[in-house]
Amino acid sequence: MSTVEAGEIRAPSRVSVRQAVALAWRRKTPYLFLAPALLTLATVILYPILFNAQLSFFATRLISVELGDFVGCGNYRRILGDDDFWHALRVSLTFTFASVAIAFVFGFAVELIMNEVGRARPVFMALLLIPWVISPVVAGYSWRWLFNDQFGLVNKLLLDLGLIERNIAWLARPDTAMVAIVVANVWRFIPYMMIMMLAGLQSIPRELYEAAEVDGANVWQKFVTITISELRYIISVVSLFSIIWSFNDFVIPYIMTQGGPARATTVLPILVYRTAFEALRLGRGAALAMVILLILLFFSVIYVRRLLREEKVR
Amino acid sequence: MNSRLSRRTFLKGTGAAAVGAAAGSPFGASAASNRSTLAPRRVAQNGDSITAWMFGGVPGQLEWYQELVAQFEDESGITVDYQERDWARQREDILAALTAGAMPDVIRVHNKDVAEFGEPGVLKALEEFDDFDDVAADFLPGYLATTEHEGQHYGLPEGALVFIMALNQSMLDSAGVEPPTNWDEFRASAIELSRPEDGIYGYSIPGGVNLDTSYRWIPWLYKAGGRVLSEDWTEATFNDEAGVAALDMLLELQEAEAIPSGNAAYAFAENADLWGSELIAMSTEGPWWQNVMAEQYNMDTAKLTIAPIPALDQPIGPAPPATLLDMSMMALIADGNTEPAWEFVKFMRSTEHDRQFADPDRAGQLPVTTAGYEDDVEWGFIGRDVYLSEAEAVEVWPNHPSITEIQLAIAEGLNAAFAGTATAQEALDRAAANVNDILED
Repeated sequence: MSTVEAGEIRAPSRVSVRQAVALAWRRKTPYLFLAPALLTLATVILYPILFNAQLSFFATRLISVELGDFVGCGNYRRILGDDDFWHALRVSLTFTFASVAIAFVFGFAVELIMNEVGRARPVFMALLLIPWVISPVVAGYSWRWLFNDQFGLVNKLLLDLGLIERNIAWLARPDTAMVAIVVANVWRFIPYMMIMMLAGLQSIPRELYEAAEVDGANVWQKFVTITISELRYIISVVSLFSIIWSFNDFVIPYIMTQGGPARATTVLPILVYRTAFEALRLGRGAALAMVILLILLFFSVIYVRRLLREEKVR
Repeated sequence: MNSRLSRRTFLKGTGAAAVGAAAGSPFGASAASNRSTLAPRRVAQNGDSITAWMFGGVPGQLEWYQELVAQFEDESGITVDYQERDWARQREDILAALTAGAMPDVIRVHNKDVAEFGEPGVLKALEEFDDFDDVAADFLPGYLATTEHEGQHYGLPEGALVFIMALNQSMLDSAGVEPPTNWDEFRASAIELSRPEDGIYGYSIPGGVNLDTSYRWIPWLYKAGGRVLSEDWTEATFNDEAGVAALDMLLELQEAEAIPSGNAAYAFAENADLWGSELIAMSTEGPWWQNVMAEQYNMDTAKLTIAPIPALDQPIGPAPPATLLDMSMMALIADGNTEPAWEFVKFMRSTEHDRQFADPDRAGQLPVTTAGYEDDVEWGFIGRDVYLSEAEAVEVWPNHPSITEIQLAIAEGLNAAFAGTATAQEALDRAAANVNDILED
């Protein structure tokens, strides 16, 4: 074979190898960029979940270095047969949905008002964000003292307004204790709801409202057909996140009531804490945590499906 | 079966101490060991250091301990990373450190921790030190026994926390009420002292789901002749006639508005706030109360009187009436730097320092060594004689490995009763069923 012939043959071959390598690199590049994030997630999320799942099948004591006896699904059977679990689930659902529904209504109202505020908006925004940026621990203690039966400002205010005749022991009665922790949680979530929906509201083109006005739509019709309709995606995302966070919330209920009175505010995370860290039954606590994870996964699946559907529409 | 502390052991120790304090101690120098009471042994290697977590402690005591730590460092050559920590968070801190493998070398905790942390090997058994017998000889046997589990000691006693009734004498005087001596008088006094329309109550007890609640109800159970568990620790007994009577009496007071209706949400802090604001006349507390009221609430302690927790004229439970004793103790972590840590604990709990323990400018509490009860020891805190007489008949929590879980189960039952969702019998029966499950496990 002559050199020229060989060159003619080899040249395209060299190009194709280079191209193949380049193509392979190009294909791998996204994974390389993703690798640090994936590794981090695997370390701080996947490993703890897998380890927790493993613990849930053992009778592990917190102060023991050993896993303890393998009990199979014993921890799960015990949990599902335990009235404490079902009670805590009901309390968690009440706390979560009451908090999110009320926070949504107030957050939406504040967002509509803020949308109409002109120059002073940044000032109001900064003030309204305080509940969201403040530490939940600080918020919990603050609300605990606000609802204190003897020294609390809530009773003082209601007495001064003539709405009550005597101090109410808010945190000592099962019905009012739930009200108190929901109020505290609503207070924390309003800014989040407000700021997320305000961002969505401001992305709605003004032309839509102008066109609706030309068509003779009244305020309510514009609100329903344009505002709500355009915000539906953001509303569902914000609500789902709020549901997940509230369902997982340990700090506010624990600091304000420690799950009392008479278990009225014992949400699932408090039950996990009690089981794993007070009773030292780490295995059973891990099983409880896995059950919570499954419940939250249900909400997460709704979120992801919603996200994918929205992307398809766009 | 785990070894347990009998009441007789206490009577032997504390009774002798009380007699000794009054009539010249038979437990003076001759009964004590020959160990050097102050100077720590120079065991330090170059760069030896230990970490000590001191949970709780009243303000004067904390300042005094800082001086002692500096003195120990000078004399021993051992560096001490001395950390003052919140008494209420001791369990969480210890568990977190244990899980993270970041335990200190010395901790000051409750005596009840000897079983929970001693049995799994977290704490070091002091019998492993050659000179333990010498050191142990300094302590009153009854108090030393509180740190024992299955024949081994896991800490040196520090302060004998005997539960008594703290009274605001000024409020009692204003209402013309004498300190109550039995339950009938207590009920009548609490109601007489209360003006709920002004937010003033005769008595208060934490009733939340926390350890403060169970700690303050148990003295009432003990006074009625009840006990937490059966003799062999196989069954809860706090729901017997004595327990129900003790809780019913408090629920009656709550119904009569002689106890704040919000107590089902109270822990120590809320109760102390009310007491420090002079809105409460009586509360079940202990030797820490004087210092807490003076230092944290600037309260004139001339208003503070101490009395025994009232008992029934005829106890209805099977056991003799007693009050609760909680013991703070200094313990060593098993895998810590144990030799220098042991030197530190011996120094801090030396007889010389225990003799200063009753000084109100320092700890202002009951000493635990025989030397602390010698004639020349100055006792300056309020209610000395009451504490000493009550210390004659005390009972600790059972040193059961699951004692904290048991205490919380009891607190949950009490909380349900104070919140009005269960009668005394129902609440205690439910708590007892939970405790029986724990014991069975």
